[in-house]
Amino acid sequence: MSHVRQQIRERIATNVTGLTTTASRVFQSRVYNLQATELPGLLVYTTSEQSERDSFISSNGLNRVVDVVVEGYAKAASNLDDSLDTISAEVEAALAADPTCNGLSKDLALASTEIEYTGEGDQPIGLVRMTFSVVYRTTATAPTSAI
Amino acid sequence: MSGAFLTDDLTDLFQADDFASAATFGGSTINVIFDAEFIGVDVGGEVQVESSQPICYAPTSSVSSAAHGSTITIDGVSYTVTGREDDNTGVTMLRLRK
Repeated sequence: MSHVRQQIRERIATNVTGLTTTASRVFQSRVYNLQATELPGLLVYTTSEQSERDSFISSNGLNRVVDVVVEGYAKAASNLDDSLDTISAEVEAALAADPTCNGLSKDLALASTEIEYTGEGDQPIGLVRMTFSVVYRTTATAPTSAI
Repeated sequence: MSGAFLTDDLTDLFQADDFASAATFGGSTINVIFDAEFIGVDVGGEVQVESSQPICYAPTSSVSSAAHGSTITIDGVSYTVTGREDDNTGVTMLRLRK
């Protein structure tokens, strides 16, 4: 059984796969460059997590908040800002439709959005970085099981 | 004239049978030296995006009216000028995008 954090990341990747703009171009924890043929596309990462003791349910319970980052990349000669906002709308709606990540989490909410552009390359490229805070609980001894 | 060789040799430098390619600019056919080297574009995310950086060099006299937004067609591909850099010795580099 995998860490609940991994299960959440994989569930979120599944939930954003097949969206109108980015289709199946969804990559988890990618470290290699994106090719032009993989745009517009989404990258999904779990970048940090805060945890604290939570003895309300279990004597060794942990209340955790993991930051799940969804980066949307697009390349276009015009209306790049519109493309990034469309990607945002599709991702936000898809994740809001499953705030418990299929029963793994207690809550999921968009925490921040950042947008970047560059004129380098043969066409302008843009990025929208959405950070979702996902609340979940485990015990300290069983991080592979959500409680 | 001091430095005259710079302009005298431009015609040879931009011969289409050597390094240059024929291009269409402002309704005229001109010769340019085209390049589109690979770059990994850093947008500020976790990874870079593979792309190229198209540029062309031309005699300044051939592209005197080139400005941001001008169109130039090279090898059948239409590019928009996004930057213009004159070296002030008779050669201009145009930064391009598709």
